Amino acid sequence: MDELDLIARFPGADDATALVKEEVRARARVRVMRTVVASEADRGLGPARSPASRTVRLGIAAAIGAFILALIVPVAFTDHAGSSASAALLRLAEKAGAGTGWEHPTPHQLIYTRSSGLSPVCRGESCLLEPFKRESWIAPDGSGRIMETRRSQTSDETFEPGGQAFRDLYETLGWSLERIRRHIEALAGVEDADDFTTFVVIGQLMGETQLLAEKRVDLFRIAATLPDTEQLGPTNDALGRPGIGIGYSSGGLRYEVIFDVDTALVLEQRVSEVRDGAEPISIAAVPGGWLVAGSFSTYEASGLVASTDERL
Amino acid sequence: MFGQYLAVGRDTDAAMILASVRVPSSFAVLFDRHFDAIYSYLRRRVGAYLAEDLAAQTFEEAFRLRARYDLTREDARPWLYGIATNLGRNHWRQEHRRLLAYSRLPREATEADMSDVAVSRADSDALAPLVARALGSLSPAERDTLLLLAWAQLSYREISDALDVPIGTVRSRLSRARAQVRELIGGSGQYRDENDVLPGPRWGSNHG
Repeated sequence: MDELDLIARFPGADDATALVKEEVRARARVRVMRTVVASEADRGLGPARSPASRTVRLGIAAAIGAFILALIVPVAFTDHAGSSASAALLRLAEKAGAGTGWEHPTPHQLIYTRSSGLSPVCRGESCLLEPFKRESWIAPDGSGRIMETRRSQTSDETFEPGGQAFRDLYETLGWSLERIRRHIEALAGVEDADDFTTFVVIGQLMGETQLLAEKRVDLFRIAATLPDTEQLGPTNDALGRPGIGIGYSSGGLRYEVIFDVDTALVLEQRVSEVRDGAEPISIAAVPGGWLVAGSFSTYEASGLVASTDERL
Repeated sequence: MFGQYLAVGRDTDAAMILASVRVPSSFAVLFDRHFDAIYSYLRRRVGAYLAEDLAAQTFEEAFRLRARYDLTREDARPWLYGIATNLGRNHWRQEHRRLLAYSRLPREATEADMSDVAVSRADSDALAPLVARALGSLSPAERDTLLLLAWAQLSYREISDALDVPIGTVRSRLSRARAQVRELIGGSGQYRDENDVLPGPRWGSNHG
């Protein structure tokens, strides 16, 4: 035994290796997460600017708006005890049905969308989270352009009319809920997709900004039928925009979608790791790829443009 | 580094820190992974009461600094221990009092000698007052370095990262600190004369 062993055995070693008391950990966790939550709220205010600047005025207006939303959202979205997530989803369906924030493009217009975030790149059992930026221009006839930047590589593809796989999402009207369910199951590659997979596919479809408002309503209604969706309450996205979060947890992962409470459009999708008593995992297979804790996609801008070179 | 390509393993602390830059709530994962270790380390240094506060402060500070985290370091433990150590340094008086209290404990088996390789657990308890005295005699920098090795079980490289000093400095501090501890405990079989006053830290040797 040398001096290092003696120091390692110095009184307190037994205490130190004993389990940390749950209440100590819980108190500290609450304190730290308060700091985290406060920072999320601060992000909504943006950086400090000159008092005379227009940005400050907009920031103050945004802050007031966020404050009011914080007061309104819990009331508006939690008045059905025991099924608050379903109630929130049905209210979002109403908002989507109103069509606010969604404009129907003319034949010569395209729907432009810009998103960014971290997405997984997986090979075998190994996944990396990789920053990405994506821009898409989609016309009603399925033509358009998708530009994506990952690492130092940029892909830039253009599509002729009818060339987009998700053209169907735009064009098809009047799907029954049953047809949408079957569509989700086809995407999921299984006959009876579990509720977690169904919710993930719904979230992914919601993120397609060319999705018709009517279709969005149907998707919200289907999501509202899933028994274990979680209402996350007022939630800011990575840009500090306030929204309402709806999530679904499975096997240590939670897939979350943040919706704009006024338009019901998706602000952000993200995947977080949760401790639910089960062995935590941080990756799950879903249609079209993998869900990995820490990944997210923030929808920064969306609207109508006249050409595939125009941006918002 | 945000915005560049980063090969961040999916389960790593670096991935969670990177995610928390955009999604702050992801930081909870880092807390859940490392709180117990950081708290336990601080409790041994400054006592349970202060440790709870300092451990929470450590994660608050880490959250504040997360955008500057070096994402090439997948394991955040050295970074967190570094923050905890810096915060604990503001409470060196408390640590000194703890060591002084330990150094005044009666030695039940003062004949125990660390040169005896078969020294028992009871012997190591008996030597605790001398260990406390020896630790108290170190400069803060030497004590931080030694305890990150002995208590946090960091490697030399990790200590270097935690304290933001060159690895050569870590080696030289550890060499000096261990020699001094050996001498004060009595590595040659001779204990030093006891004083009621704990030797003061050598403040002038903080930089290697």
